This record gives sequence, C-alpha cells and structure tokens, in this order.
Amino acid sequence: MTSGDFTITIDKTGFPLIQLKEWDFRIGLMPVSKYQFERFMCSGDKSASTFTDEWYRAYLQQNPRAPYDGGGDAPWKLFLTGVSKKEIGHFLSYLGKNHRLPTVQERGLLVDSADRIAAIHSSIMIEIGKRGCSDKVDYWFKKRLYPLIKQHGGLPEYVTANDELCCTGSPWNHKDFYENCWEPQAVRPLSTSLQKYMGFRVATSIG
Amino acid sequence: MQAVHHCLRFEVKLSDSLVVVLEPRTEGWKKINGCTSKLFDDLQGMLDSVYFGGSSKQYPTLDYLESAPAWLDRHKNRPFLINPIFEHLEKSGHQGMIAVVCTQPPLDLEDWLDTSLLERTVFIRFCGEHLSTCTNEIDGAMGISSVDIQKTFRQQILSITVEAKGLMPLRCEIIGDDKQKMPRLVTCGSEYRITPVKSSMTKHMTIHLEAYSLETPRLKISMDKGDDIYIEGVTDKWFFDVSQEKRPIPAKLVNKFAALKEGKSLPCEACQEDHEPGVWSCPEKRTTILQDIPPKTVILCMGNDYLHLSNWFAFPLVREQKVITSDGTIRSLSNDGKWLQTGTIKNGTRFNDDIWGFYHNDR
Repeated sequence: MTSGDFTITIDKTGFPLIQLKEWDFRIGLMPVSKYQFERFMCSGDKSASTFTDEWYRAYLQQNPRAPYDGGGDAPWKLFLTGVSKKEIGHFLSYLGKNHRLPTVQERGLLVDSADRIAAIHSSIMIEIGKRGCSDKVDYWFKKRLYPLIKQHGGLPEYVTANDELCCTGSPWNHKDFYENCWEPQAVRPLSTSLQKYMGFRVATSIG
Repeated sequence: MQAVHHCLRFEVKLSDSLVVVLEPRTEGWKKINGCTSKLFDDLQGMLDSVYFGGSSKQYPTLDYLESAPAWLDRHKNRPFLINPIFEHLEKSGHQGMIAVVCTQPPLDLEDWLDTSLLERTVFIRFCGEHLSTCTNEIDGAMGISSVDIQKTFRQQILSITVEAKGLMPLRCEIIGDDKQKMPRLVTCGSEYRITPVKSSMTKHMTIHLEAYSLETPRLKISMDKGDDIYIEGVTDKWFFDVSQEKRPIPAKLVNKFAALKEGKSLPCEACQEDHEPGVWSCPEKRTTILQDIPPKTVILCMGNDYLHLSNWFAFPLVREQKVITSDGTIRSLSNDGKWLQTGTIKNGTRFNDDIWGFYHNDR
C-alpha cells in the first residue's frame, strides 16, 4: 500500500510495518505488543505450540499485562518485554522467512525519521484503516502510541549489530532506570538485569 | 418544521442463542465437560455454537458429545484467551448470552471490561475464588440446578419501541410466525410499543411501518441483559394502499351518510324515528343505526366511498400537514416536534374539499 513517501504493510498478526521511500527495509511502527504476540499464540501455527497457557501465565506473573485501552501510567505493560531470543525466533519465523530483528542502523534511521513519521500521521491512519487492521491497532494509532522512540518514551529494544544482539532505545521514565543515562540512539551491551525490560520490533528486508 | 413521510420495513431476527466458551485445558476437563453437557440438556434449542479459549474456530453444538474430545485435543493447553472469540462474536453481531466454563480466568479478560459482550457473559468457574469483581459468575463446583441455568441464560425482552423525533405512526402491520398471538403497535404514554413481546424470542418478525416523523424511525429493543439493540428499517414501497381499502357506502346507508354530512338527525328503520346526532344505537330497539360500519373508530368519506380507521393509527392529510387519529382527534406538528391536538372530530367534520368524516361510536 503505497502513499507517496511511505509504504505500509501489515504482518500476519495484523500489525503495520513502515517503509520510507529511501529505505531498503520495513520496520514495525511500534514494538511488538502482548496483544500482537497473543494473536500469534492463538494462530494454531506449529511455531506457537510451545507457548502454552502455563507458559503465558508464568510470563505474565513477571511482566503483567495492561488492558489494550489502559496502559495508563505504565504503558510498557502493553508491550512484550523480557522474552528470550529463542522465543522471539518462533514469533519471527511465524511471520515469514524475511522477518527478523532490526539492525542498529535501521532502528537509527527510524529514530531520525520520528518527526517525519509524526507529520504523516493522518496518511498512515488512512492506510492502516484501508488494510483492516485490528480495532486495537486503530485505537493505539489514534492515541499516537508509536513509534515510541523519543526520550524516555519507549522501551529498551533488541537490535542486531554484526549479527550480535544488543540493546538500544530509551525506556519510559520507569523507576528502575536512571533517566539521564539513556539516549534514544545509544547502543548498549545486553545484561541479565536488562532482559526483563527488553522489547523488540519486527523488520524485513526488501528484495 | 415539516414531517417526512416514511414507509419502512424492519426485519427483526431476535435470538436468545447461547454461545459456550470452554477453557482448553486437559486438567479439569471432566468438570468442564460435565457442566457443558448439563447446559446442553437444559438449554436445548438455544445453543448456538461452541468455542475453545484462544481460537475463533466455531464448532456446531449438535456434534458436541461425539466430537468434544477431538476438539479439545486440537486446542489443548493453548493460552486461555477470549480476544479471538469475543472479536469474532462482536464482528458477527452476536446478541445472545455467552457461557464461559473454566477453572481459571481468561488471561485477557481486562480487554473487555465495561462491554456489552462481557455484560452478557456468565462464567461458570471451578476454581473456588472469584475470577474478577467485574464479571457475572456462578460457582460450578457447588452444582447448578436446571432452574438456575434457565434463569441465568434466558434473555428477557423488556420492550420493543419505535423511536424517532416527531413520530406519528400512520399504519403498522406485524407479520410473524405466531399467528395466534401476533404483537401489535400500541401507544404507551408518549411511546409507541410493540406488544405483547414474548419472554424469549427466537423467531422472525417483519414490521411494516408507515409514519410521519422528523427523523427516520428505528426500533429499540430493551433486554434484561446487555445494551439496547437498535434496528434500522429499510425503505419499503408504499405498503398500505388506500384505494384498496376504501369501500362503497352501502346503498341502504346513503341517506344516513348524507344526514351525517349535514350534521342532521339519523333516520332509524327499527323504530321509524329520527335520532339525534351522536346517537348510534336505537334506544328503543337496541339495534345499530349504521349497520355493517365498524364501530369505535373514525369513518372518512371520500365521494361515494368510505374508509374506516380501525387498522390505522392516523390518516394523513398531506396538504394540511395534519393527521386524523383513529380515536377521533385532529393533530398537527408543533415546533418542538410534538403532535398537538388541534381539534376533535364531530359529525360531518369537513377536512378538505375531498374528505369529511365522523367518529362512529357504538351507542
């Protein structure tokens, strides 16, 4: 679905990825949410079979869920955080063989384009509306709950650098983080203490 | 303010069908299955379909006893999520009740708080503790009586009303399956209600409505559980044809109609006397003076024909933007959208060059 400067595609879970005209990749407009991951778990796909009721209940004990319309003062609860690389791999393989984590450079381009994307919000909404995304996606976009990359307004996210996993992003002003220590573009090594807070978004290469 | 003439058809397909959602869990399945079988026994004919938590796949209730183990096998141990099911029910416009049989709460229950669907959902739980403070629940472990099941899952229709600003029904005909007890439109205070409504309604009703109103009329159905349901009508071709309903004034009554038109006394064959205007039954012989003319309604005369308003709410005087109601009043629309009475029909009331009329009482 092309609209001049950008293209919106919808993944198998009904969530949008954006490609700006000059990019050779697509990237999720927001990090993967718990709701989005639930759609995968409910897909009946073989790759989802390890995600049982028991697994998800235990997961939610550590990373509580928020109702889709009420992240309130803890919006990070809407998003899938703290899952392992292997678990992310199952999700990405369900979406399709080109789906992967973004690279540091790709996420950097997204951060650089944040204002430009905000300026075309209405056009993005129209494109998303045409594609018949879930009502919940519509709701989040109306609330402008994306792309979640500004200072203290997002998640620390997994990215890859030379095929190695690392962390970038700027977390919400969460009590567990020193807000002055996080810059949206800074890349950090992963640590065990960070894993619980780590989210991710989906990317695909073009061509 | 000018009222618009509407001819509408409403198709009412109310159903008190029940959807059953089962937790796809092997532990506790015996209890879940036992409870579901009891629901099936007690609510035969009302069950619509079965879902398993975490999937929008619908299964037919007829195959339940035979196929449930295989269905469970297909879904077992999936996360117990209701989003796929409720989203499907919402999209398909399910208006009935939902029973969720479970041993623990669905993981995404919070996404549906304060929704009509959750209001129409009853959780039969086998976990002892309450699932949530915001849900209707029955403790399955305590055993549920057939009476409780009926009381819980049968939806009661409280009322069906026709709504529109400045509404004045002209005619309404209701066609349904139950020929014995066909509902009809009646005035109830300032409302127009369809009555009687059956306590539970599974059948189909077609309502033809001809009305004046300032906005397009719609049906409002109030139930004891869940939000009100609104049904929009579709524009119908002119349904009630006056030319088909008019009848010639019987030859034996022509002189009496002529007397009525002039406001004169009525000649009576029974006692050979004339009776004062307003006397419709011979006081001496107790016979009806205008035999074969329907009583207790307005009679409108158009040339050599007459029309009785027994089946009408009101007859429109289009040019005058007025109506003649079947109980004998003349009404016109006020600026605040109300049909105010501007006159009462007397013998020989002339409405325009073509129409005059009288209220035919039965005594």
